[in-house]
Amino acid sequence: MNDLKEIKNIIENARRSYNSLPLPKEKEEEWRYTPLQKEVMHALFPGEIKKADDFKLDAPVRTIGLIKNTIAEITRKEGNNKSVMMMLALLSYANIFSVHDGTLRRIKTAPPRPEKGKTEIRISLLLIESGRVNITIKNDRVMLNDKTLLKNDNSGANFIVVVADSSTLKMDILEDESKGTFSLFYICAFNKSNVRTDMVRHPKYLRTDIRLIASGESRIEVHTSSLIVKGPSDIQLSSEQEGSSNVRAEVRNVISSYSVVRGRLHIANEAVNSTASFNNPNLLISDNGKAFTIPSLFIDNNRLSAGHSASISRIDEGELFYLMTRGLSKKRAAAVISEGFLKKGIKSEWLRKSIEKFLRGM
Amino acid sequence: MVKEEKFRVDYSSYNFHNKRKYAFKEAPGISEKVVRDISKIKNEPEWMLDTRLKALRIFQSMPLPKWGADISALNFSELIYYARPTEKKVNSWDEVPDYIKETFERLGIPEAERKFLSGVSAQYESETVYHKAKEELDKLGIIFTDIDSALTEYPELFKKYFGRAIPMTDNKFSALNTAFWSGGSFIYVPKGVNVPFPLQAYFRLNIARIGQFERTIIIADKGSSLHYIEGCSAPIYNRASLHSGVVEVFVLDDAKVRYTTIQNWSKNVYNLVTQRAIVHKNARMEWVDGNIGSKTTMKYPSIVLLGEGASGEVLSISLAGRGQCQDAGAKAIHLAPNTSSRIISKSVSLDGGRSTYRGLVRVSERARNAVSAANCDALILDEDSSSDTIPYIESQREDSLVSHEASVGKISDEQLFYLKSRGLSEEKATDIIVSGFLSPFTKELPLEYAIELNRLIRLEMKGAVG
Repeated sequence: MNDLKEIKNIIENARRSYNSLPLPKEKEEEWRYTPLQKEVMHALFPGEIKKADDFKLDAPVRTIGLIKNTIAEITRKEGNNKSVMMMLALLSYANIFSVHDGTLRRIKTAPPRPEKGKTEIRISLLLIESGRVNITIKNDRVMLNDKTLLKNDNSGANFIVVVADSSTLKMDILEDESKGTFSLFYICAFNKSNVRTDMVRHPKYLRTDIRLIASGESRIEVHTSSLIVKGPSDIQLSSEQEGSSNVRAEVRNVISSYSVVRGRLHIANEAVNSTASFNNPNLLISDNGKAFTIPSLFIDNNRLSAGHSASISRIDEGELFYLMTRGLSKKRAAAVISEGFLKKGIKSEWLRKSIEKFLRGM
Repeated sequence: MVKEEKFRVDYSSYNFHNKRKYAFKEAPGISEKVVRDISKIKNEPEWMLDTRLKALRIFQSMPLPKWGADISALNFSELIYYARPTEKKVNSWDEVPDYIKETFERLGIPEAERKFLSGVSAQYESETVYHKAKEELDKLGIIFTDIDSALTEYPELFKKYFGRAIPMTDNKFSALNTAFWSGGSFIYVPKGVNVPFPLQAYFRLNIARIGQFERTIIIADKGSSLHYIEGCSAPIYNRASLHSGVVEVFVLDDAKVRYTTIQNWSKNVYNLVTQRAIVHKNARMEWVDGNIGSKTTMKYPSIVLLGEGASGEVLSISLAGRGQCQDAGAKAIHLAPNTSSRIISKSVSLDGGRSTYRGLVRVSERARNAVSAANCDALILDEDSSSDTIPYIESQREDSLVSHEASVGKISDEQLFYLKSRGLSEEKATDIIVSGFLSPFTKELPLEYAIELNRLIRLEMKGAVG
């Protein structure tokens, strides 16, 4: 029971941190002057949280310890992150799914659905211990090999930790909620694991935090494609490579609204023979579009290959002209080019179809 | 794993310190008295003293920046804020005191001048001691003088441009510089005049714990062109020294300015410099920036593209060795239509050094059809060294084209093997590969600077093997 008490303490501390942390400032760093929109910030954060949610966990001692360690580690890493602190402060349940050799072994700890009408946030811990697994996350529905594990109807937030150990994991993620949401994905790969994540986003206003942790000759590949037309979007992707590993991340955006992308790749001194790359192409499709990108690299050893690139541009006039000579209207031609741009890198067929659907609805 | 033995840099060729008397030297520490004394000695007008005092208050009220390199060890109360080695300025080489001459000769200044450099404005501590401009410059109407003389001789021009590109409120160190500035160059190139050869100033710090706050103002009037070169070299001392210069460049319509600088401060100097160019219609600014020395450098040459069709380029290299932190980069701010910028940055980290590229490209709502490209490459020569790349890219225009690319890696084994198979030692092969890596920068330098830079890099690389 001590572990449960500690979890409650962590949650209470997170609530205090959330209340004391300021909203991200316009001048986060004096010398750069990024004009973050105040109204967006206020819309995303609910104001003061007076009381943490009553966290409930009915599980074996070992499982509670696991959750405690996970939450403690996240708090250590994200102590200054207001949105993560908010999600922790509102945490109600934890779910643990353990997968061995591709089959689900345990579902513990929390009711599969929240109480009717109640907004709650739950952390889901997916431990993939071996084998080949497909995970699908469609807004707040989490599925394992086509079987629904969890549905958080009311939360509007995803808080998911996936640990792949000696396994091959494919994750497809779709986020197209009409309401504003926060998402936090921890994707960890150890012992020669191979993780590929395709993510399609069509946010109203959405902040997605993606954290990648790789070592033990593992490989993580993340491709996100976002159509940012309904409202602002903020993607924060960071990776920590503490042992030999490969990380490849690509963030593609088509923007007519407001987009912030922060990439942070860190390769530690021990992570020799690693590779890391981050690519962030942005297409601005309207005069109101604004794109901010900060793709940073922190490299602490020399036996590696690392790189990043970012670009912000509009649709190529030549490509537009070519399609228009084939009888497409300018708008349709722009949609076709945007579709090709967003689909690049996304392998999953149903995610590719959802991109088509979004663009048709534009 | 057997670790290669790390090199030890032989600084003896730079570590010379001439003993001499100072005409005037302030006690260490920041105070209003120091500011008043400086202003009084220089016989400055009232407005300048007021500006200095105001800047001092701003400096004292601003916190140290929380981002970038660690400068928390910097102790402002230990630094000397003003020292002047001679009583008066001289304009002939023969009149320069022997001990100062000797120091400059070891750095090769007179030869450089004899060859093709037009004027030497050599700064020795806080005061310009030697300044000579060739008659040709006078004939063309070019003003190339030390900044103190400019304040008395061209007060209106001085007042018009002083603090216009970099106001005292810009950052803590621009406030510090505005309060204590002393020495530096002032250049005005009249309309349509092309300066036919590079102008050069050579800076040296030669007293422990000295703060050097040189201020340089360059104005290139409409349709003119100029290449200005500044180089730094300083001997080693135990206590931390501070160099906090401010360089303001105004490139008016259709003009072109290239500012070349190589800093090789000794490994105990904090080099916290603010450099900014305001570029008007169809004008062009080029920063060519080499950072070899210093303990900690924070330096981000900026281009503010204010006029339609303006363009700018920043070409920079940095070399971070033992105990060094080179936090360098560039900023390009597009404020007008059809502007373009290009940033090329190369860094080499070795022997536990840390190099950082920190850049900003900003396309404002007014910058129709702006184009910007940035390219950063980093070489890490051993596993104790590190390299960071932190570019900020902001675009508010659909019709702009902004791109950034960076790569980090080590010297490839294939390249090393190839050169070694041709009979070169590993050290020599590494030398050649690093020289090749930095060649986009060195080929932009005047010959004698390229030679000096290659010599400095070889010195830094001595014993370092990939």
